[in-house]
Amino acid sequence: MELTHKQKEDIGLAFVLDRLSPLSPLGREKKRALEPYAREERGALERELENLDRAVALGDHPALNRFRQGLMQLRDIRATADRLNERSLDQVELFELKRYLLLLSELAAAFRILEAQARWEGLSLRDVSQALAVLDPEGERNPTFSLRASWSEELAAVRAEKAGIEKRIAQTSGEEREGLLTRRTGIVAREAAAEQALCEDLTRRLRPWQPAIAESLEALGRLDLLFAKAALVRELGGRKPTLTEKELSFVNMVHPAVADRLRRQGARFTPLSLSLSPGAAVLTGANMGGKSVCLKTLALNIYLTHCGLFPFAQRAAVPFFDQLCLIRGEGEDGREGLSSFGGELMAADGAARAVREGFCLVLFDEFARGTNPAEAQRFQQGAFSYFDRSGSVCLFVTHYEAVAARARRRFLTRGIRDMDLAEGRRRIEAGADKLAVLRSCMDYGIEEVTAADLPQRALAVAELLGVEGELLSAIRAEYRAEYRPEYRPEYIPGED
Amino acid sequence: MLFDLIAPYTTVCLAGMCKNAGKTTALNALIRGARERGVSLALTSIGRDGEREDLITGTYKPPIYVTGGTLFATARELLQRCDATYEVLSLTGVYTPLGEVAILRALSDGFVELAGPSMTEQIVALTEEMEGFGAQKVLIDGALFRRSLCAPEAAEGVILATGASYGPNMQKTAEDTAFVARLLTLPEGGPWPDLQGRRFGRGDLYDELSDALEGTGEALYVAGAFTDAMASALLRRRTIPHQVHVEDGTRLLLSRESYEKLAARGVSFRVRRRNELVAVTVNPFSAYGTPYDPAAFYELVKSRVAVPVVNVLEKTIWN
Repeated sequence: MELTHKQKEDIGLAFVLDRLSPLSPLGREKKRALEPYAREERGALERELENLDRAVALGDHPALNRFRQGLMQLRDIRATADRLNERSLDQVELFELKRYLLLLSELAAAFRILEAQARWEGLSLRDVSQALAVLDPEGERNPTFSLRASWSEELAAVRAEKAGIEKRIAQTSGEEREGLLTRRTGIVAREAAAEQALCEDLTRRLRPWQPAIAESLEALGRLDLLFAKAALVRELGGRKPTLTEKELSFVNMVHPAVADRLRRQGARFTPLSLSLSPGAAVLTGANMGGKSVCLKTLALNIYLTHCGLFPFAQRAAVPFFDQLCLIRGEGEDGREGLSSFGGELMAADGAARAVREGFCLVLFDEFARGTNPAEAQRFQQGAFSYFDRSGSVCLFVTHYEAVAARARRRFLTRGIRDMDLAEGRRRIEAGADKLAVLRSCMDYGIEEVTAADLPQRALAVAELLGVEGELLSAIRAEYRAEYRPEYRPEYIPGED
Repeated sequence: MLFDLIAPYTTVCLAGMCKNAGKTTALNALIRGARERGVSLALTSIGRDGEREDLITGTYKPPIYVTGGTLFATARELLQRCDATYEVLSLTGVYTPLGEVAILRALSDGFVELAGPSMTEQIVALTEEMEGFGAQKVLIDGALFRRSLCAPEAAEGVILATGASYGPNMQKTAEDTAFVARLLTLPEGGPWPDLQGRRFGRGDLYDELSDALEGTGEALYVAGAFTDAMASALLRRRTIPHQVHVEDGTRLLLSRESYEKLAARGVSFRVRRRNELVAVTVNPFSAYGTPYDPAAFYELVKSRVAVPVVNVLEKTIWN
C-alpha cells in the first residue's frame, strides 16, 4: 500500500504523525521508516496491533514512565556497536558502550515488570549484563569510564612511574623541568601502548556480546515507537481494529485533523459509520455535506491501520488491502503535463491494474468531474461496472442518479434538514454568519439508503451561502423550466 | 597573583588582543594557582584556534599543562593529542569538525588540547555540566577576542591578554587595549524597552536609521552587533541619539576611531549585561619582531586601564 506525498497530505496524515513522538533517536528512525505492512507481514501487523492494545492498557504504569524516561537518555550507539567486530574500541567508545549497558540494565528491569503485565508477543529486551561486567568488573555502576591501572599490571607499572615524574615536574622549573618533561614523553608513549593493549583486550572480550547488543538496540527502537503509539492513542483516541478477510466497517469514525479544526471553530465532528463489502457502493449527498471528508476519513483510518496504528473509531473492522487507490480530481499529484482530468485517468488506470493484482480499497471522488457532465456520467458508469466486478472494495462519490441506480449499496450524507433550513433562513436574515449557519443546518452524518434518487439540495446551499439575488432567481428559473418527473426537487427556494 | 583576582568568579573567560598575547601563559598560571589552593578547575575553549603550523612537522605539543583532577572539554579526535591519563565523564551532544565534544577528568598531570562549543548557550550548558561534576571554577579559553566572543552569560569575569605581538607600536597597542577594556566595562543601561523588531541592512543603512530615529533620538537600542557602518551612518546625521544600548560589550564591533568620533558628538554607550574585567595581562615579548621594554609597557597599560595589570612573564604570576 503506497500513497504519494500529495495523497498523504490530502488525507491529513501529517496531523497524526506530527503527534507521534518517540523519545530516542532509534525510535525516531523507526518512525521515519513507518510504512504500511505488506501482505506477507499480515501476521506481524496483527501482532503489532495486539501489542499496541496491551501497551495502551498499561496506562501510566510507573514502570512505563521509568522506561520512557530512560529512552530520553538513549543515544544511537549502533556505529560503535558495529565497530566491535571491526577494530579495537577507544576509551570514548568504551565509555559509550558502558553507559549504554548501564542504561540497558535499567530499561530491561522496567521492561520485565511491564512484560509481566502486558505479555507482549514477539517483543523482548535482554539485559546484557555479562558485557557490562567486562567494563565494570567491580560492579560500581559508575556512569563514567577510565582504563583502570588495576586491570593491567603493565599499565599499573607505567602509571606509577609517570606519577613519580609528574610530581617532580610540579616541584621544579626552568631547565630541570624541561628535562623531566622530555623524559616524561617516553613514559607517556609506553602508557599509550599499555592502554591500547588493554582496549584491545576489552574489545576482544566484548565481541561475543555484539549480536546481543545490536539486538537490544533494535528492540529499544521498536519499543520506543510502540510506546509512542500508545501515548498517541491516549492523546487523540483510537481503538484496536479487528482484521477481517473482506468486510470493512467503521462505527463512529472521526478524522482527528478535521475534528481539531472544527473544535477550534466551536463545532464538532459528526462521527461517521459505514460498512462496505467487495464490490462498488456509492456515497452521495448535498454539496458541502461532507462527502469528501468522509472519503478522507476512511482513507486515513485505513492507512493508519495498515501502518500498525489505531484507527480513530469506536469500532473498526478492516480487511487487509494490498493497495489504497484514491482517485480525486483536484487531489491528484498533477503529474507533468496532465490536466486534472488527465491525472484522474492515470490514477484510475493505476487502480484498474491494482485490482487485478490484489485486494484493494478504491475511492473515487466524483470521477471525471472536470469534463462535460454527459461524458463524465459515462465514465463514472463505466468505472462503476468495472470496479464493481473487480472483487475489491470500492466507494464512488457521485452526483449522478444513474450511477447510484447501479449500486447495490448506497450511502447518503444526511445534509440539510428541511426543518433546519427555515430556521437557518431566519438566522441569516438576522445577520448571522452564513458559513456558520450553513454548518449548523448541515447533518454531516451518513446513513445507508435503499432509494437511488438523490436529494436536490444545491439550491438550498446556494441560498444559505447568500448567492446574489438575481443570479439565484435565474438559477431557480432553470429548475422550473427543466422540471421533469424524474427530477424531483424537494425544495425550490422561494416556492414554498 | 592572578589566581586571587579571579576568586570571586565561578566562570572566567580569557580573551586575547591577538595571537601570542600571553593568554596560554595566563591560563597555565591560573592552573598552577588552582593546584596550590586545592581548587578544582574545569577548562574549555570557545571553539578552537586554527591548525597550528607545527602540527605538520609533528613537533607540536598542546601548550596547556593541567593538574590531575582538572576537568576539560575537547573534541573526540583531539584526545589523541592529550597525554594526561583521563576518565571519560560525558559526551555533550555538541559536534565540531573534530567530533563530538567530550568532558573528561584528568587522572594525571599532562598536556591537553581544548576544543569546546562556540555558541553561548552551549557554553553555558557545558559550564553547568562541569560544575555538576564538581568543578569549582570554569576557565574558558576565549581564543581570539572579537572573533570568538565571550558574552557575559557565559563568563562572569574576563581576563584580557595583550602583548607586543599585537604590533610594533607600543603606544598604539596600549591605547587599543585600553579601548577594548573600556568596551568590556561599559556601564549598564537599565532594562530595555520593548523593541519593535525592526531589522536593518535591507536597504541603505543611513535611510533606515534616519527612518527609525525619526521623532525620537534619545536612545538607540541595538539587538545585534553595532558596527562601524552603523556608526558612520549615525555620524552623517545632524541629530544623533545620546545613548547607544547593546546587549554587552562584545557586540560593539567598532573601531576606536568610530567610537571616539561618536563620543565626541556626545554619544555614550550602555550595555544590558556587563562583563567584569578582572585583569589585563601584558606580554612584552613578540612572536614576530622587536619586544617592548617590559617596565615601560607595563606602566603604560597600567596608566590606561582601571583594573589590575599583570606581567605574564614575571615570576610573580606563578604564585
